[in-house]
Amino acid sequence: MNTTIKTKGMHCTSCEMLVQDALEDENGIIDVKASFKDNEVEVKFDESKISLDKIKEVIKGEGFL
Amino acid sequence: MKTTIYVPDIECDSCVRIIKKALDKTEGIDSFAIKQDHIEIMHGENIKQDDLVDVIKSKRFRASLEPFDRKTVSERIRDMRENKHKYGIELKVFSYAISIFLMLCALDAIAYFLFLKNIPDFIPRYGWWIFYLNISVSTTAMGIWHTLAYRAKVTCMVGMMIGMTIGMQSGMMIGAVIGATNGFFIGSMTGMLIGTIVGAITGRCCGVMGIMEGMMAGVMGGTMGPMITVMMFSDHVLIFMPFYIAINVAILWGLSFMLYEEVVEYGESVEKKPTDFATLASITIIATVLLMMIILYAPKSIFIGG
Repeated sequence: MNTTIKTKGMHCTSCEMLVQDALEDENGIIDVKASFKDNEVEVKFDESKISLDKIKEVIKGEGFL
Repeated sequence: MKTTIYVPDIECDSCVRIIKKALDKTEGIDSFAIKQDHIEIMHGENIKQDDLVDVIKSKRFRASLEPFDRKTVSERIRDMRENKHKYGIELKVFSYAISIFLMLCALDAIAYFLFLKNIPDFIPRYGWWIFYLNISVSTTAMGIWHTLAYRAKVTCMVGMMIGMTIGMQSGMMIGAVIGATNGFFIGSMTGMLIGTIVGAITGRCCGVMGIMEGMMAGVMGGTMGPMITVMMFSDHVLIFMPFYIAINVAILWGLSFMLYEEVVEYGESVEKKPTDFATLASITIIATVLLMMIILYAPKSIFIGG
């Protein structure tokens, strides 16, 4: 499943990397692309292994939601 | 043992968090302290210093066991002479700037003999200001061209500096010219509009922060420029203008120097996408024509004879 999540507070490429690294550590994430310019994260994931709520929780844990 | 790794791009909390996570995951590290431009790491003998540098580099930061030294201006000029192939775009900045300036002057001369000589006192009234307009527009155009010629990872600090500098200088120079020919109101409106647009376009390379910085600088420069010429109108403004324009041009050249240092030479994953000369020249000519029309036909303040 593909989804785009709007984030808050990403202001540089380091912020993008924090989000990408955090999500890539989770089981079920297939691809992640974060953009601080658009303040959003595109995520491709396996719904059977990880939920959208969990993904949002991870992004929130990094402080960008 | 202790190893110091120099990392010049630590700019915000996110940078610190990324490095901290990377080092926390690395076996063999006992402790570390992340400072403003370096990291002090206490580690065992089983991990090499080069491996520690690679850990930092894997997170797309520049890292070295030696401090990052910048070239001086004279070293940079010598490098340009000896290694011209590295400076293809920068050498074009020089040649394009001169070409565009001369082209604008030639077009002005043609326009004068075809249309403008019937305007009373055209040369005494507008001559110098059109000359300064040509310098201002061609320099601003080259600043924008140079910035947009590269696609690269740009830190927030560098991006804001780019937007601020080009936004402010463009507003100041062009605003000053229009202020002198049309007065404070039209000068400020024009200077502010140009400064904010230019600042937003060039600051965009690092996102919203760069756009905001560029626009704020554009407002400041766009209003200060006409203020200077309007206030100096009866106080040797024509003697002042060469120095004023020269300093603004020098600042823009300095920005190009900084751009090369920070983004091109020491940056990573730099892609070159310069706009072709024909497109650059067309846009510059259209912008100059619009500004000339403002100079000649927009309302003028009472003290200028409006």
